[in-house]
Amino acid sequence: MSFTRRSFLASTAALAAGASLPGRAQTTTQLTGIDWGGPLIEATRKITEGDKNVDITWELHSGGAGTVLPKIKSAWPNPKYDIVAAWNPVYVTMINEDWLEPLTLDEMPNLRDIPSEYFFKDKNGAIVNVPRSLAGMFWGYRDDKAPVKVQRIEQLFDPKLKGQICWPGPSINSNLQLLSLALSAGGNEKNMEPGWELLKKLAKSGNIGRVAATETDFLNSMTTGETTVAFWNMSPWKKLSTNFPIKALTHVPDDKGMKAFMYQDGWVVLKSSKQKKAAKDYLNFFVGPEQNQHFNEMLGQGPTNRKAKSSGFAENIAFKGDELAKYAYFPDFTVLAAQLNDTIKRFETEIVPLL
Amino acid sequence: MRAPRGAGLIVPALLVVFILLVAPLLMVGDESLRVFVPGRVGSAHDAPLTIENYVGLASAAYVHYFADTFRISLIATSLALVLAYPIGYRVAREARARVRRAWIAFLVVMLFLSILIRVYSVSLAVGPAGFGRGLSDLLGLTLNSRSYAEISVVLGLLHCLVPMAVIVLLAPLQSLNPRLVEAAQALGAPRWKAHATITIPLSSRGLLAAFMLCFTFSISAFVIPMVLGKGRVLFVSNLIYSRFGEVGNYPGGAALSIALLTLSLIVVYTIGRATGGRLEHVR
Repeated sequence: MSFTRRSFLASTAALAAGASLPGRAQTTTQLTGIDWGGPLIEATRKITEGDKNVDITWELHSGGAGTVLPKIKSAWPNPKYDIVAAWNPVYVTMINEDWLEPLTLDEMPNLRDIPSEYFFKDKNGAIVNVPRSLAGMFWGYRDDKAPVKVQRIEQLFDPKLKGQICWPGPSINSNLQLLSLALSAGGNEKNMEPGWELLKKLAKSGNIGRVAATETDFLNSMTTGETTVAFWNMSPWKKLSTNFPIKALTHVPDDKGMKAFMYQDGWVVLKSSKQKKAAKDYLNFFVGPEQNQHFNEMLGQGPTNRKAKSSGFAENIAFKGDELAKYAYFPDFTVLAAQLNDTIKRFETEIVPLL
Repeated sequence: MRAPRGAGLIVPALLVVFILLVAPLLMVGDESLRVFVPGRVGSAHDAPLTIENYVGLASAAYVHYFADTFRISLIATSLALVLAYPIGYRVAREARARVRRAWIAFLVVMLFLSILIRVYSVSLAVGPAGFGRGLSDLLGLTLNSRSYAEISVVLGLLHCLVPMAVIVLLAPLQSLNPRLVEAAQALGAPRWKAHATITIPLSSRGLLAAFMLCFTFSISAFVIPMVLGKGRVLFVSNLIYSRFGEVGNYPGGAALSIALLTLSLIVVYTIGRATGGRLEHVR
């Protein structure tokens, strides 16, 4: 077979024509989203593979979800994100800034299967979040390494735990770790003073080995055995539990502070998005019963869709009957979010010097 | 007095510098003087003026953060120069061109190594998974003590500073005439004295340049203290990030930034001024 200039031109033209035919790429909508790294983004990507209508460019939160706020603020009204993964305290700030697109049950029918208590609403009463996981933050320890099998808050001060506690930084977890101390000493969200007193005592004791600024810090510290006791949220605890025996302190009787602090994380659509319809369709798919169950199975978190079943690590926060009142705590994130600025300053000026 | 010919050519460059450097700094300066309402991101457009953001920095705790940042940076910079100088001298005096090129290539690669790779490699090395327990025992410290965290931060800074300092020192060391040291030794001076009285004084401008570069890098280091400081050792840059990135307190972060910038300029200017006069006599 001879290869001539004419045949080369013909085959090139055929290739060009083929490439320009309408294909899937033209029906796929481009979105930009931001989610937490580690196991969360892995699970999100897996679920997203099932929706062929969108092609999402992902970014990762650099630490807590609150770090996305300045990025949005500085670019508003043209931030690059269409959808943002966030949780209770971050929803509150975003609502205050009036950044969130209202969502309706007609546009997103799968929201009908999510209990109404999980929704956040804007000043007009419209739903603005798409809850995807019910999760908890709690104390736990490495059963193979921790020198003290902690069961109560006062045991955190045991001298055997010198340098063994991984304490989340004040901006992490909305400072629920401090609330846990405050509750044990008779305080609450509006009266955190008893918690601060206990935290000063804990810092002075030398038992805090690391103040973790990110989830990676927590995972590295616990994995290497640098620290063995910590307060963190479910998905990294689950990740640790795949390699080490972990004791999750979610069913501790008669301790006011050693609770499972419940929250939900999920999605929001920004008002600035140019692809609101595609973003809503995608998120509606994301919280469908099958997807919601699969997503939360991967993370060990509880599903938000009533039709999805919880299993595995999520059993740690699957409270039945009166267990919910006994072991779980639903924090007032609005109060905590308003305190965050002062909390960070106080941590810097009163706690870090004692470490 | 007429401007020199072609002076207008500098206008585009000045414009770019103004837009990218001066204007953002002015904005940061303005933000630092605004009232912040917790729960919001940044100050409101019509936020009133205040000096509260600066007043808060005068507390003992924040003075300590500034002092720690400068102290640890000074220690790391001094150690970096002590370590980099003999390496730089060895590379500069290497007679075989191929070996010298290999040294320089190695140093350049080290210079461009990702900061995250450096930090986490140091973190693993000096942690319990590496030789951390042995090192902490050797130093008589516990692995999770503040002193050990400070040492880890200094080691992390050295990982970045040493190649940087060697590269800065190479040019002045290469331009030295080796015969001067040889002549001193031929006249009976011991080797150390020949270097102390000839090599070091003649390369002091390079040392000053390396010091300035390493010191300013250290002061503004962010990831190194964040990861290796274990939350016990925090630099001012970590506080700035926390204000801007985690709570949206732009006015507080801006005040810290302006204070750090001002103090850094004063320190660098003072050091330059104190040593610059003496260096005038070194030719």
